[in-house]
Amino acid sequence: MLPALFYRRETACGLLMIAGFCWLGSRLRNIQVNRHEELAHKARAFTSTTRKALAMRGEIRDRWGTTLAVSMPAYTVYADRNVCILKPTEVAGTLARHLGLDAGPLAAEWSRARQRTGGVGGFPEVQLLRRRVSPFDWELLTNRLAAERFGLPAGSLKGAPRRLLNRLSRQSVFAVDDQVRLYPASNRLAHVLGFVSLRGDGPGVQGMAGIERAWESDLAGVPGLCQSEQDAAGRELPLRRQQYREPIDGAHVFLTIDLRVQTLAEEIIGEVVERHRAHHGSILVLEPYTGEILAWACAPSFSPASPGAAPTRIWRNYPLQDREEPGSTLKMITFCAGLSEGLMTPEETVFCGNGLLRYHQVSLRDHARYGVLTYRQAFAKSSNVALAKLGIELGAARLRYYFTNFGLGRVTGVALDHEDPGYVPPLDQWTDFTVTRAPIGQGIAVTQIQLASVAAALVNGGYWVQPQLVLRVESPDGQVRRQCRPIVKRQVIPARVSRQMIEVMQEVLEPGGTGTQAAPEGFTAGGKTGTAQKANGKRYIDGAYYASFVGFFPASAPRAVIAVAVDQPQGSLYGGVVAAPAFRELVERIAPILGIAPDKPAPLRSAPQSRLASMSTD
Amino acid sequence: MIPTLVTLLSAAAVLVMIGVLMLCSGTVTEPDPARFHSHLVWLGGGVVAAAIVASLDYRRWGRGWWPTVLLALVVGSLLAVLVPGVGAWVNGARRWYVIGGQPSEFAKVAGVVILASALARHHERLAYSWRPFARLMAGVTLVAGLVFLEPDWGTSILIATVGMAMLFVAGASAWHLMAVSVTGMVVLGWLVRDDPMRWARVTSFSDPEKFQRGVGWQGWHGLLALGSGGIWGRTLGEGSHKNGFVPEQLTDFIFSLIGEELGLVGTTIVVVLYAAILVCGWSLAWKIADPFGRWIVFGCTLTISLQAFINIGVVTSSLPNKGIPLPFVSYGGSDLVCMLACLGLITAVVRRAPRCVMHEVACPSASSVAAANVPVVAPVPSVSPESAPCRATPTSSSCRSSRFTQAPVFARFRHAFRRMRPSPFQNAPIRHPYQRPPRGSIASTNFTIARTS
Repeated sequence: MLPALFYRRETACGLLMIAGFCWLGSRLRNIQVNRHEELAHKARAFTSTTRKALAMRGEIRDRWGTTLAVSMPAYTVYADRNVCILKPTEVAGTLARHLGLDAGPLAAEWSRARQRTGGVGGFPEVQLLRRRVSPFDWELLTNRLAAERFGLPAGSLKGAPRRLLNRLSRQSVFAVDDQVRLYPASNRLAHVLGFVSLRGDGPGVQGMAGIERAWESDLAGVPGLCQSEQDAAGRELPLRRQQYREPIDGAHVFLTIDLRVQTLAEEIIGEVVERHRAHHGSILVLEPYTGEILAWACAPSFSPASPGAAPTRIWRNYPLQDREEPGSTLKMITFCAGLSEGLMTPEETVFCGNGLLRYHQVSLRDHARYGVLTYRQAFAKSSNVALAKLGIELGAARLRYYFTNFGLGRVTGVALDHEDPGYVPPLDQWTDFTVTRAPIGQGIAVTQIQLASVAAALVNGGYWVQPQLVLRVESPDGQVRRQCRPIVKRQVIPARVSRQMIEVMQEVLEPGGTGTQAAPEGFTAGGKTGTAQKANGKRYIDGAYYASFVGFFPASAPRAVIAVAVDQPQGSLYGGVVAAPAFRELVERIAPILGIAPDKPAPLRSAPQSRLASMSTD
Repeated sequence: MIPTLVTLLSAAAVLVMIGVLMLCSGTVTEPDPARFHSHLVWLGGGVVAAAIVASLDYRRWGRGWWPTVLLALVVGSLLAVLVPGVGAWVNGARRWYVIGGQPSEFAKVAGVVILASALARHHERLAYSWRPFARLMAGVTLVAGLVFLEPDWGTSILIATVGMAMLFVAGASAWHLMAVSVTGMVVLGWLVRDDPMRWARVTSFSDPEKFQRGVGWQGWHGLLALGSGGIWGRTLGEGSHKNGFVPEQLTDFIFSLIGEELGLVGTTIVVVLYAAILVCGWSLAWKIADPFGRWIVFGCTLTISLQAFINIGVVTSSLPNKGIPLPFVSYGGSDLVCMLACLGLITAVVRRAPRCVMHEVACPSASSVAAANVPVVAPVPSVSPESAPCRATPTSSSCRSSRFTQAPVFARFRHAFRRMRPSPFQNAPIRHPYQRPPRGSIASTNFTIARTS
């Protein structure tokens, strides 16, 4: 009936199948045990997703809340190449029109890709088209794409052409959230605001210079994070979230800058630099009692929105980063040191050696042959010899003590990165030569912000106050997160000396002084001119000067310290000629802004008064 | 025999439950559980169909016009689905009727019955003549070819393999089979080479990672799903790849979902269950004396286990990609119903078929066997309930019914199974050819003769 063959063959088949199942078992063991780590890792690349939600970057505002830097939402637009190559010319034309791209190369590239792949669109292939596309442009583009026919016949389509049209109009481009940083004040305050750059690791921007960089942690906010899983279409699965954090928008940084003062300062320094064909120039306006900086103007300036358009040397923040030998402006410190040490009084006379001082076989000259002058006159005429003699009398230790006490040789701590500390030689390097040169501002290197803070300390009663750029930091909801208060570090000179210095420095602006051109109409003001030969590290450079002026007004209760510096002016080179007029003009123009009434009888001018009178009689 | 059947059915039931569980887990990602519900409905239908099939007398189907009618039904349904208005064009093939259902699934089961009836009539001559072999092979080729025209490569290869395995086991000449299979493989290879899509599938299956952005996408993600499961799996419902990464994860690739959520433990259990079905089914076939019933049980078991083997092989990237569902587990109505009908068929056969009973002592006298010149198995006339020597000496190991009554687990179902055995040949003492007679007995000589013949 049934042959034994059946049993043999059934057994053979059965063993074969069992062997097959055993083989499958070993395959399963290989996949699920041996390759578990590897495959699970590779699977996570598909299934898990980490998404960041952009935090809106905070604004930078001036002290009255005027916006100086603001972020706006934008899009980064990508194309799916594998869709675009289905109709290269038509898609490239539409995209180019709305994104401001060049249609030709794009269409050519896609046509080549079409020839290479045979026009079979496969998996999405992402191509970056343009960053920072405004929402409005994106809306226009998508509307246009929805209405576009891409060379397909008009009217309702069916089947493959309809699918092609749908793919082209809906899947050819897509956008990712991004931000764009705008600077409403255009070039104003560029060196302080700094600029941002596109992040390398994703959408958004990061501060690269200035406040944008130094206050990055406050401005940037915290991006939202969503660690979760996604489906094959790339949709995030909320039920599988492992971590979810809403983005926290960045805080607004309020600067101490007053945009009105800033605007005037920038206009004036721009004019000065242009008139004297200088390398660059800068003006700082400082409130002496609080250290708040009202203006920080540099020329030439650049546009923070597109810093790349300017040469990189212009990005340099001169008042903060350029250490220069200040020249005569440093005589302020020598003079007040002499006063506070009780070595002399302003009325004391000093012999100016007829313009020549020989000290240890090295001679020092004045620009004029002064004989016997009071110290007050010597200061006003900026006599090198008189101040060098005072320096010799003070000695290296005391000189250096005053210099460092006034903050030279160390950073002021204004809220910007990469501040230069300047240079005051250590005490063991002071020689007899140094002792005659340091009092008149040679062999010492300072930054302009240090010089301004020195002047502020001289006129505010003798307190060294740290210069401030940031007034407060506010959360987006208006809560004050950080309030910056004046930081009074130390008293460097007695109040008596400060009062004497105000008097003495006023004299500089009076006839006979070096800074007569700085005297503003209607306001009592004081200051000190400085003209220094620039050094390149080893020796002085011929014909390269650094003209500066540091002044304050009004004399009764100084409201503003103004430091003007012009680097390498051509033609005239003296601080009293190049920098002082800028001081005068600035004082006259910012006084009404700061609400300072004229406190000095001006030469009689009929026009305003008579006009007022006539108006009232009318 | 009954415990073996119970084991087989329980293994299948566990697989069905795993399938329901995995479908429940897999459909949670869908907006509504329609597929899960329809699976449950099909499952109920399948159980009813299996019960109906099991309650019928299978022997009728091998007699008279039944095989011809069945063949006509199969061929007719397969031809009908090729007609554009009747068959639906889905994914580049016409496999489904417009109203639903796959005729190729029906052909799988009906083909086994038809071939079994033909084999029962012809198997004795199969080894000696090419004519019956050619006739049977032509039938197998006809059904497989019609399925191939849909086109459904996987199912047609499955049908052809099952048919050839049945022919092989029934005693067809190995040379004939080899010639046919070599020819078939050459033709198949030529057709595959001709079709770039299938050629890519065949060349890419062993390294889906390399082709993951093309034909290897599904294979690669199935592999990732399996691999990320590890030993213990990511617990039920926690799989990530059901979110669209594996496009056919509920039908052909449900094994990857099992692997991801239940881990190596789950996949091993599934493989062991299929192996259990295989072993149980073939041990049933081993013991069934009726050739028709034997081929049915053999063919049905082979269909189930081979389908599982191919499916798991595809998911583990061991075989080229074929659209073959995992029996009892995958979503897919007609396949589930047909597989359950297969179980019904096996049950129907086991209920009514006469069976070989093992004895330690040879039952017919050696001389009578030698005189009848019938190899090994006792001739039909000796199969009588009154055969005294056989009934007198059943041992505990051979008498399945006594062992069955001893098992407390089955005790409460005893009367049910009793009712399931109405065959008059219930205890027919057909001597088993492979049973080793006692050393020195005359039967051992018999045995040797049988083997050499």
